[in-house]
Amino acid sequence: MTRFCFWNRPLIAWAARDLGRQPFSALLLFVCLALLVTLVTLVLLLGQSLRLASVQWAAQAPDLVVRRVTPGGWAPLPVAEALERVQTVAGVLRPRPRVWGVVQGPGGPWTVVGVDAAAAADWPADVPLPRAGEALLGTAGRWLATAQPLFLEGRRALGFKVVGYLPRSAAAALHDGVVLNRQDALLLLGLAGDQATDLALEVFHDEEAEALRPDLASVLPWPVTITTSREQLRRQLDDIDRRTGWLLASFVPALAAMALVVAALGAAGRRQRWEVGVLKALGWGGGDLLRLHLYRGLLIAGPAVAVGSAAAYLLLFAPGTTWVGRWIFGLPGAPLPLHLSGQSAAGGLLLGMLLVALPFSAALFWSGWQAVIQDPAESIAEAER
Amino acid sequence: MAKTLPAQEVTRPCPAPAPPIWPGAWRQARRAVIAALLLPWLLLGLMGLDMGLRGGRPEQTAARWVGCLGLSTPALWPAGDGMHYPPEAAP
Repeated sequence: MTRFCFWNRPLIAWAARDLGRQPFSALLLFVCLALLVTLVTLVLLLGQSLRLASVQWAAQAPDLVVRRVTPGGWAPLPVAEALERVQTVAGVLRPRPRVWGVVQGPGGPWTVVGVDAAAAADWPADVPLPRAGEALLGTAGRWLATAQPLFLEGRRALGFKVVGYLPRSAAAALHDGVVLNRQDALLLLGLAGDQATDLALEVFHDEEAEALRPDLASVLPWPVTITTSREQLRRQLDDIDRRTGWLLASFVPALAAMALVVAALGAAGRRQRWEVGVLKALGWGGGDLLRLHLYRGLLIAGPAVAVGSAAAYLLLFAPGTTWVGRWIFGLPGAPLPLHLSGQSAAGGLLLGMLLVALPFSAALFWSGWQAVIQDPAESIAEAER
Repeated sequence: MAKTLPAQEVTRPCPAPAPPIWPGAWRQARRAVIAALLLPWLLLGLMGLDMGLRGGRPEQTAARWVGCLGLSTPALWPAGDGMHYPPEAAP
C-alpha cells in the first residue's frame, strides 16, 4: 500500500523548472501578490498600532487637566489659589501647574513647554534640563544648529541658547516643540510669576477622575473646563479611526486586483490544458498533474505573501517612519519620525496573509482541477483548434 | 585464494540506481525551490524576533517623555488644533 504524500521532490523540481520557462509571468504574479498582501496588511495594522501606541502614551498623561475659562476663552490660572482650593478635594493627587503655549518660531508655530526643578527628579540623565536662557528642542528642531540662538516670539520676543534636542524616539511626545525653563516660558507667554496655563492632577484610580469633576468645579471660584485623560484618549482614538478609516476603501482596488489575479490564473490554466493533455496521454496521473499545478502556484505565492507581509511590517515599524505623520495626519513642516513597534501585530499579519492566500489557493486549486478532469484528447484538440 | 560466491548470490540483480532528482542542469531550479521554502520562514522569523525584542519599547520611550513633560496629547496632534486647548487663543 502506498501512502499519499503531498510533497513529491521530483514534481517540485519539475514545477520550479516549469516556472523558469515563463519567468515574466511568474514575476508578475509574484509582484501582484506581494503588493496585495502589503496593502491589505498595512490597512489592518496601521489603525491598530496607532491606537495601541496612543493608549500607552495616554497612560502617562495627567488624569485630569483643569483650565480656567472666561467668556473670551482661555484665561491664566492663579497658581497659589488654585492649588490651595484643589487640595481640599479628597482623592486629588500631585496637583501641578503647567506652563505651555504656542509661539512663533523659525519655520512656523512652536509649542513651548516650561519645566522647573520639580521635573528634575524624573528627567533622563542624558538630556540637559534647560536652565534660564536655554532651550531644548523637539525633533523638528534638529535642523537648527546648536551654535545659533533660537528666537521665539510670543507676547514678547526672546532669544535662547540651544543646549540639546529631545531623542528621536521621543518625537511622538513633542515634535514641533521647545522645552524652556519655567521662568523663561512665563516671560515668553506673557504670564505673571504666580500664573500658569492650567493645572494637571492625578487620581488614585482612573474611575475617580470622572467622579471628581463636579467637586473640583465647585471648589474653584472661576468657571473651569475639566478634561480627563480618558476623554482626551477617546478623542485621539476617534481621530485615528477617522483618518485611517478611508484606507479601508483601498480594499476595493485590492479585491479587484485579486479578481484579476484569479482571472489570470484561469487563463493560464486554459493555456496549460494542451500540456496537461499531452502529459496525461504520456501516462501522468491526475493527482500528479494537480500537484504540479499547485506546486507552481505555491512556489510563487509562499515567498510573495511573506515578502508582502515583511514590506508592510517594515513600512510601519521601521524606526523613524515619517509617512504616517505626513500622509495620514497631514502634519506640515519637518517630518515626524514615528517609532512604533510590532507589538500585537501578529494577528494583523496573519489576517493579511490569509485574506490574500485563501482566495488565491482556492483559485489555484480550481484552475488546476478544471484542467485535470478534462479528457486528454479534448484538451489537445481544444488547444490546437 | 579468492572466496567463491554461490551462483545465486552472483546473479542477484543489483537495485537500479535512483535517477538523480537534481541533475546538473537543474541546479538553478533547486536553488529557487530552497529559496522559496526558506524565505517565508526566514522573514516570518525575523518579524517575530523584532516583535519579541522591540515590542512596546519605542512607544514607552515617548510615553516616558509624555509623563516627564506632563503632556496631555502626543505630537501627532500639534498644538493649536481641536485636540489642544486653547485652540483659538494660545497664551
